[in-house]
Formats: sequence, C-alpha cells, structure tokens
Amino acid sequence: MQLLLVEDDPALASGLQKALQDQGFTLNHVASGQHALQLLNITTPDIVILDLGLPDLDGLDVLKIIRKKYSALPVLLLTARDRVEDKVTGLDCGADDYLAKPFEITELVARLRVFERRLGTAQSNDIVIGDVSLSTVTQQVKVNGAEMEMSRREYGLLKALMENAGRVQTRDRLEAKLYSWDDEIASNALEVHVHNLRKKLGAEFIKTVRGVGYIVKKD
Amino acid sequence: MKSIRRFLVIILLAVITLINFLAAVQGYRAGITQVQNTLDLELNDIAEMLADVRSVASNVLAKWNPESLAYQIWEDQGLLVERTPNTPPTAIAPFVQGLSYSNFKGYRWRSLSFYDAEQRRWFLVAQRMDSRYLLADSIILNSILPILVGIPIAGLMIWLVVGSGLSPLYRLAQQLGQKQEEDLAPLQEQHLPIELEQVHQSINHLLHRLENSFAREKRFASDAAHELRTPISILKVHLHNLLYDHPMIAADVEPLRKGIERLEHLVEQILALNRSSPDQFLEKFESVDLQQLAREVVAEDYYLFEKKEQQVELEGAMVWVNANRFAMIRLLKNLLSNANKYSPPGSEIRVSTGEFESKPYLRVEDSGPGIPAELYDKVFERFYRVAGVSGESVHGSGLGLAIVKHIAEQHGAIIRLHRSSFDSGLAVTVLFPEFSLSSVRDTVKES
Repeated sequence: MQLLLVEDDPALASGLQKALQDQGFTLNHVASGQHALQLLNITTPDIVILDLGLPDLDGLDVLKIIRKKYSALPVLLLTARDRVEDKVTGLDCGADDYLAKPFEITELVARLRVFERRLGTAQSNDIVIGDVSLSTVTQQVKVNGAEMEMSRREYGLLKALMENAGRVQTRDRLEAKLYSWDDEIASNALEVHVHNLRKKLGAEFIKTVRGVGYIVKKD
Repeated sequence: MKSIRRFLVIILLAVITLINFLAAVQGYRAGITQVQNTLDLELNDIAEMLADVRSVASNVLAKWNPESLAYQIWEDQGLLVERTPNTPPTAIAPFVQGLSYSNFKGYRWRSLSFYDAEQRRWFLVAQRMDSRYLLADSIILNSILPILVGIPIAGLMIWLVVGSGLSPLYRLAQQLGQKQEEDLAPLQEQHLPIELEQVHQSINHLLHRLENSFAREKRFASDAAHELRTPISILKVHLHNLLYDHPMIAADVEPLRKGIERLEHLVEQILALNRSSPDQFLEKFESVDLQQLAREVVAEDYYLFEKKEQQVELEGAMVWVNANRFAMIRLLKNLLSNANKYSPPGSEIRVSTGEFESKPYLRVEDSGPGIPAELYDKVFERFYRVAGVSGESVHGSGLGLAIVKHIAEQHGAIIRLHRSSFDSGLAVTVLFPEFSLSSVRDTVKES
C-alpha cells in the first residue's frame, strides 16, 4: 500500500511516517503542494494524505487539481481547521475523507484500512473481530470458521458495523444505507435485520446503544 | 446626581435675580432723588401759588393732606400773618431764600423759604419727609413688582429652553444607554449640533476601534488555538510511536498522555468559546433536529462512555430548534463530557429530547453523585470545577459549563440544573424558545 503524505510540518511528518510504516504502509513524504503535484506526475500512490495548511498552495486547490487529473485517487484531508463549513468545502472539493487535528493514529489507520479494502489492495480482505470474520471479496461471513448464510442487506449492515468497529453507527446512517439497497423499507427494518444477524452471530456481537444506533466492539 | 439642566436653571435665575436686584437698588436711589426733585419743584409751585392767590390757595391746600403739608406767611418784620394748624408759632424755616430741612411737631420736614419782594412777605412751605418717602416707595415698588413676578416666569422659560437645547444630548445618551453589551455598531444620530457632533464622531470612532481590537483579539485566540493543533498532533503521533516501540513504558508515560489530552481539550474549549461569540455564530442559524443531533454526538463520543463502561441511552422525540449546528454540537459534547467525567464507572447516562409546554428541550442526566443545589450557580463560572467522585479532582478545563451557558444564552435558551431521574445524579436541561419556521426565515434573511 503506497501512501503519499503531503505535510509541511517536518516533526508531524516524521512521526506519521514512522507510525504508518509500523502499520505496514509504504510512505512517500513531500512538504509542499508543488512537490506533491510533481511527484504525482512520476508515480501515482494508492492514497494521498493531504494537509490543508500548506506553505505554497492552498490545500483545497491542490485537492481540486488532484481530483481533476486523477479522479479515482482517494484523498484523505488533514486539517487544523474543523469548522463544519471547512468539512463541507473539503468534501465538496472531492476529498474522500477528512480528519481534524489533533487526531488519533488509530483513527487515521482505521480510515486508511477502509480505503484499502475499498481499493482491494489490502493484504487481507478479511475483517476479523472476535469469532466473526467477514470477507469483503467473497462477501462471506464466518463464525468460528463456519459459514453463515446472509442476505445482501444483512451482509451490508454487518460490513458497515465491522468496518467501523469501535464506533457507533447511528440509526440514520444505517437506515440511509438500507434505503440505498431497498427502496421499500419497513420502519422496523433495521431492527429486523439486526435481530436476524444476532441469531447468526450471537446476541452480544452487535450491541445496541439505545436511541442512538448499533456498535460492534473492537477486539 | 448632577443635572446640567438644573444647574443652568439655578445659575441663570441667580444671575438674573442679582442683576435685577442691583438694578432695583440703583433705581431706588435714582427714584428717591427724582421724587425729591419733583416734590421740591412742587413746594416751589405751592409757595408761588400762595404768594399769588393766598385766599384760593388755602382752599387748594385744604384738599391736600393737611398733616403732611404746612405753610406760614410772615411779614417782613417778623410778624406771623397766617399758618396752618400743624405748624408752631415760630418760623418753620430760616428767612433765607431756598430749600432747607427743619424739624418741628416731631417730624422732619423739607421746607422752602420764598420771599415775595412786592408783598414784602415770606412764604415758608414745608412737606413731611416721611410722606415723601412713602410716595417714593410706592412709585419704586410699582416699577420693581413686574420684575419680581417675572423671575418665576423666566425660570420656567429657562427650564424649557435649556431642556430643548439639551435634547440632542439626551437622545445621544439614550442611544448609548440602549446599547447591548456586545453591540459595537456606530451610533445613528442625525442633525446633531456642532458641539455634540464631535462627541458623536469620537464615540463612533472609539466603537470602531474597539470592534477592531475585539476582532483582532478573537482572531488571535482562534489562530493561536488552531496553531496549537499541529504541535499537539506531533506530540500525539510521537507518543504513539514511542508506545508502539516500547509498550512496557506505558505506565511511565501515562501522565504525559494525560497532559497532552488535557492540552487538547483546553484548546478545543477555547476554540469553542471563541466560536460561540455572536458575530461568528449568527452567521449560520438553521433548523436543527435535536434528536438527530444528539444521536450523532452520542455516537461520536461513545468511546468516552465505553472506556468507563457507562451505559448511555437516548430517548425522546424528534424536536426542532432554530440553532447554530456547530454550537449545538459543542453544547451537547460538553454536557456529555461532564456526565461522563463526574459519574462513576458502570453508571447510567441518559440524553433526552422533547417538548415542554411546546418549548423544545435537551436534557442530559447522569447517575453520579450530583451537585448540591447551592452550588448550581457556581458551576457556570469559568474555571470553576466540582470535585469528582469521592472527592478526587477530575481533569477538565473548567470551561465546559461556562461554554454551555454561553451557547444557551446565544440561542435564547434557559439552563436548569436539577436532580436526575436516576437514584442520584445531576440533570441539566436546556430549554429552548418555541420553534417557528418564520424565526428561521428571519434569521436567514438577516445573515
């Protein structure tokens, strides 16, 4: 997995370089927007981590150029600004994800893993939590090695929860996903799917946060 | 309190009275002299008249006050020919032509000696001085009386004129008085007299400078806090790497990790405080569903509760408020963070939304030890911190509730602290003003 880190602060860049290499990522680092664009002409990474506060170019301009030239290249923004408006502007300009400083490395890594799986470049396309393993390639779910029959919606729901393990997925977010899979949806569709999943995975795997949503805890 | 109006009225009246008094004294003196001269001429006329037509004169004189007027007619040789009853048998004036003063019958008199050479007789005429003064007094009184009556009228008119003259000043003062604490907009006062125009301009200039310096200060605080985020990220990344390479030092670097966490928290709170200032904040008011917002915020901060194995739940209904979304997120995050910090591990926390008497509310209840009612007011002060569970100090900036209060105020919302519906614990209820779509439209129009 090849990353390009565009970050002008050397201390942060060196720290990130080490942290991400520890996680098995290969990392190129440049300290300016110009250098980033030059480097992209030579070699295209899998993911770009772009700091918005660059000395030479506005990070958002760099983002727009990247988006124009390499439409499929995932870009994760890092920024010290966190206003909602900034977030919206960043995502409007075509960023795939967004992290506000100061962030947890584990959070950054989790986001990169999601990209990785989406790109299919992950060394392992299995998400394994506890007894449950989910293959994003074969769309198979195994519990203690035994394969479980899953409907398309159940699989999608479980994938969303497992990909974001440790973070609560709100009802709104999950329902929005269900809607995109199925136009006609009963008001208790989410509960029904979760209920079915629990029968297959055990009652404790998916935890309810009452009134908020569901969570799959990390190991 | 000193009043310019009262001062002017008193001073002007005093000056007018003094000048009138001096004028009256001067007038009195001049009046007396004038009356003396006139009466002296009259005496002369009487003497001449007596000399001319003595028989008629006695009739004429009889009509006059016989007490205050007297005369004697003497033969050249010192023989008294005729006298009024109020004269002594002796001469009432020297036998020298002209005016003089004399005393007889217990009064002081002004007398005139007139010698008629043809008749070879002296005509001595006298008038009582006190009647002269009486006459002078009444003449002078008549001229002073209008002035005395005029002073209160002058006072009233001065009061009114001064009042209308000062009215631009009153208007200016009123505008200043009505200014809200945070309102630094220039004063809009037209048609000011030149004396006040300078004051008006100076105030507006001052307000402008104040606004700029506030803006600078805010920008500085905001920029500084933003700038701190990168160094904090650096600390966190390197600490993470250090722990990755040397997992066994985790306990040793725990204070370091906590310190960084506090620093991070403090910076975020300062940014939140700064962001919730009105100019920042009126920028973006919109319809916000409190329940949905609470769902997102609880989901985002769920890890806090997970760490302490606390049960968090959300209940209630969808309810709309007219609010700044970012500020609302900060408000709820601060309330959640307090509930999390001040409740023991394994306890329960409940977030609820709904309407109370058609007013939307957001409530966070914990099952911690709660706060004594007498401390309810104190917790909103900046940097005030309540001791945590079993008295140990809980780390926090002490800004959390101050920010909550600030944000609530900006939204016209009221905060109530009360006992939670759990067995123990604190409940914080934020009660918003009634929601209406028109108010949303208004704020959208304004912004």
